[in-house]
Amino acid sequence: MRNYVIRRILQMIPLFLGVAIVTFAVLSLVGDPFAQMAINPRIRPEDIQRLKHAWGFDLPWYLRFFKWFWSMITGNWGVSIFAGGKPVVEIVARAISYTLRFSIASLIFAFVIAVPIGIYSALHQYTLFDYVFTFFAFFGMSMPTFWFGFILMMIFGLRLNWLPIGGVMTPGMESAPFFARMLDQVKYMVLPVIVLSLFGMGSWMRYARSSMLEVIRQDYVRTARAKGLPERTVIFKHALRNALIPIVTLLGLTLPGIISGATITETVFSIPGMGRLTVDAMLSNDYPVAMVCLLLESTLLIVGNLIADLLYAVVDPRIRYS
Amino acid sequence: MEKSEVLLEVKDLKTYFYTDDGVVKAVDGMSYTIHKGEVLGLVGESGCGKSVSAMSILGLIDVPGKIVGGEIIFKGENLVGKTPEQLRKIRGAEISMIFQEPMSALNPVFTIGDQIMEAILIHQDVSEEEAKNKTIELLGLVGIPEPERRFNQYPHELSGGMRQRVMIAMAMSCNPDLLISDEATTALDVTIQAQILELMKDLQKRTGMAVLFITHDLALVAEMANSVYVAYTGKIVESGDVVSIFRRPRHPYTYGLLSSIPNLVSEKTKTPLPAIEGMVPNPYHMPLGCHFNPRCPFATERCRKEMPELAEIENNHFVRCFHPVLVNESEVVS
Repeated sequence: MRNYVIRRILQMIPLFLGVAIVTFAVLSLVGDPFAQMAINPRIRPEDIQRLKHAWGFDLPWYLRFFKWFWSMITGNWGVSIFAGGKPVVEIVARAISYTLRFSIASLIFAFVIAVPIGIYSALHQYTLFDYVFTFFAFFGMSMPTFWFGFILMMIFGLRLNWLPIGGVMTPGMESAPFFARMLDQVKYMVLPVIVLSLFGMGSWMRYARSSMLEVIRQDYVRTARAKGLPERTVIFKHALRNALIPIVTLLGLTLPGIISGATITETVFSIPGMGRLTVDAMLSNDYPVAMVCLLLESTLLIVGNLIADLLYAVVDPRIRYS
Repeated sequence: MEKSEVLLEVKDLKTYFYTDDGVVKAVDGMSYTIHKGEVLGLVGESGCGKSVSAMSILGLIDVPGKIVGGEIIFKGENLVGKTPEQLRKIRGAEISMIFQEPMSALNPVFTIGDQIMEAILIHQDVSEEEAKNKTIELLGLVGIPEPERRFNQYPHELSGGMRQRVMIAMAMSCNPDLLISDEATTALDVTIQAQILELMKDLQKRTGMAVLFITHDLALVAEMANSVYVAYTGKIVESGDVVSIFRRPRHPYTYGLLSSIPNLVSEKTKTPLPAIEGMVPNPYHMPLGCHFNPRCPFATERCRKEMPELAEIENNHFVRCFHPVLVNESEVVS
């Protein structure tokens, strides 16, 4: 098991390098971020040349890549080309702190509500309960998030005036006492978390339902009943443990999503999170920021897959890695 | 064999399945009696209702299935109409069952020790420690080597034969009065099959429990059973003690089944193996009259109109047929 993990981690290194090269190359295809400045009469051509030289755009892309890559692995992640030359680490850390609170809250919310409902639906297949929540699940999955976000903003923000329609906190609350500050930020979280979790809920519910439906038809469930176990034990011990195997592994695969953020929802609710940061950095060709965002997300994808595989071995004794 | 006290009497049992496409009469008026310490063979092709009748005894018929008629008298009490809780207490304790697929009948995520212990703990007033010791003892009893080590193993670490031994240990854990074996050896290799049969026979002799031995394989019945019931489309078509059924089969279906077993004579003379023509009828469209008539070489006009009753043709030998076959005893080799 330990050897397996070490081997998997070693395998990540060439993969990471490959991803970095391809990403950098693709970002370089766009051209340099200073080209547009040439049409601005107030910027002198020699200033543009100086900027290009300073950022390495007078070099071929692969030399620029090596320079960037070397400084990155030695711990210097550079500064943003725009955004007043702020350190990339600071920009990304700030965006992650916003994204995390929304993504974790909505994941927990969706998971804790949807999985029990899905399992209950499976145990009461084709009843009114099942139909209602199946409808709800498809509703959640097929609803465009931007549209649903606007509807919620209209009802709860503008009509009823209960909740703020966007942003992450009320201006001026930074220096408020801790609990008042928390409460204020929670209010800003309600609507986006509803939008994000409704989507997640639909799919978790369907996963849980189909997984449980498959398990309760298994022979070992019949064996458990034939043993004379109470129905409670049959369902919650014998069936549930097996039904959760695929669900737990899926949790590992949602890891990159927790960091990468939801661009559309973040845009609708004006949340300065990772989704927006990544898209904005790519559009303005701010490659130091874009590279860190993209590499962070792909690293989490790789790590998430490893975690999913390891979780699989934890919950299913048939899986052993050597 | 001396007939002792009646243990289980299935009387005119009817278990129907109400599907969207119509009613399937999986068990349609089946009756059989098992005495204490007896091994009863219930034989038939797939779909003849043998497994459904076993599941009915255990009260494990799920929707859309339902017991719509008849009685299941076990130790003098009718199991039909008992509450699920009452049936649950009987299941695994007084009546236990082993199934066809040892590969999928054990839960993959729990150790075999845990799964056997569970049955003991639920039905007996013992401590965990005692249940564990009993489990290890049972594993030894069913011929599993190194029971202490096996106790902590998962089903996937055991072979098919070993898993079926675990299933038997589980079934034996509460000293049942009746063991239902539903095609328990069908999925196993012949050599393993022989070992498992030997084990079941041995345990049956030692404990004196009764066995309802369900199979499609007549050769196994000859090996195991005292009396034989042959089922076809949810009804018993012939019953009797093992000798009379095998020596003097009277129903054309039983006769057909017996003649389609390969034997040394047909092997030598290279005569083609006789087979029963046709297929088991579609459960939604049962033929009129005797259900076997479309496949029966002796069917007459009457067979196509009327369903014959089960009639005693010789001492304790019953046949549901208007034209029972008369066979020369030497004709059928078993």
